[in-house]
Amino acid sequence: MTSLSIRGLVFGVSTLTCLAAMPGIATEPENEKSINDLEFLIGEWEGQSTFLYPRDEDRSPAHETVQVSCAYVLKDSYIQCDTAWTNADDRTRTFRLHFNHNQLDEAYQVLFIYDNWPRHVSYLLNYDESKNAYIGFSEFEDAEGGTGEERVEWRLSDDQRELHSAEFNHLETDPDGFWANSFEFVWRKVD
Amino acid sequence: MKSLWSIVFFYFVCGPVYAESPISTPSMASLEPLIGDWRGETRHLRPRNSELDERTETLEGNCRPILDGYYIECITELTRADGRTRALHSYTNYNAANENFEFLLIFRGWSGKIIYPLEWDDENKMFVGFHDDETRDGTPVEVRVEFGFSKDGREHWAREFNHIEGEPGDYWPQTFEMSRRKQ
Repeated sequence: MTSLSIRGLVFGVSTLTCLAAMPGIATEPENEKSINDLEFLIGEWEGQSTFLYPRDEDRSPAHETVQVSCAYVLKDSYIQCDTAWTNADDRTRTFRLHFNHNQLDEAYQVLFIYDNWPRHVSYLLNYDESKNAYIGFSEFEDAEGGTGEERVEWRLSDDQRELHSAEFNHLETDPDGFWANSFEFVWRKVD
Repeated sequence: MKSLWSIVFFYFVCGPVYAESPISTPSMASLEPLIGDWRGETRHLRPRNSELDERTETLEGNCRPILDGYYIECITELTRADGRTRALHSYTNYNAANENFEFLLIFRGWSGKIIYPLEWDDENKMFVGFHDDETRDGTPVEVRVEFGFSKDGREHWAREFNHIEGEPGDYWPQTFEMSRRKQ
């Protein structure tokens, strides 16, 4: 084990205390938006994903099949989705998504934790009426310390039974305005 | 850190990573005492305001491995004397890239989340973590969290201490304690 020199390692978010001094005895949202707006997520989904390799023309897209199960947790204040993504070699990765309505930022928020990757990903999602999509942005760093941005779009069909997501990234070294489509998936509701 | 960023780069730009097997590393094994059903109590201490009463809660919850054992999830419900409740989900994992444990907490009634690294203090046989906080008026606060287990693994305890910016440097009063027993 390493020593206690850990303060510099804080990489995440922290604004209130832990199990302790939470003002968090449940209070209902007073603004119009709430996690209930995302209730369409609740249920079972199946679908496919595609990894695109926009910076490697020689590489073919990789596909996965996806199974998803979403339910309310934390007394209906979050929606939790457990997902399993299986590739053509029958290898599976699983990760969990937590959606909530972040009252501080007045936006929806999604948090990912993975079985195959030690980092958490979290970003805000805002509904863009002009695109009829929920849009989110996150940042990442590459192996050389360069930075990149990722834009995520979640789009729901009119009957709310098909959800399409697309991810685009822009590396620091990319030309301005170049956002490469790197990943997309579609989930379809299972009756 | 480079290995972590390599993973970050690989994941976002190069494609998916598939876990080789459910994780059962010695590091995660040190968290195994968490797994099970628990009941206990919490005390919210008021070190800076003796006129405020301590607040207590009863606690019930369970912890189990999820995501192929990469995380231990604890679902906890705490109940005040007046019957009001709050619910927490915590996720503890070992981040091999950073070589430290990590603690993630989400809960009903607050939109944010808390994520901080945990280290094992071998001398005192407990996990220790620090994270930043702020008072209601925005003054920065540092929080120190400690938790550990009884030798038989059937009791779990946690304590919190904090230090508000501007206070004497060695003033870290205890603000919270939790103890719970495996059922």
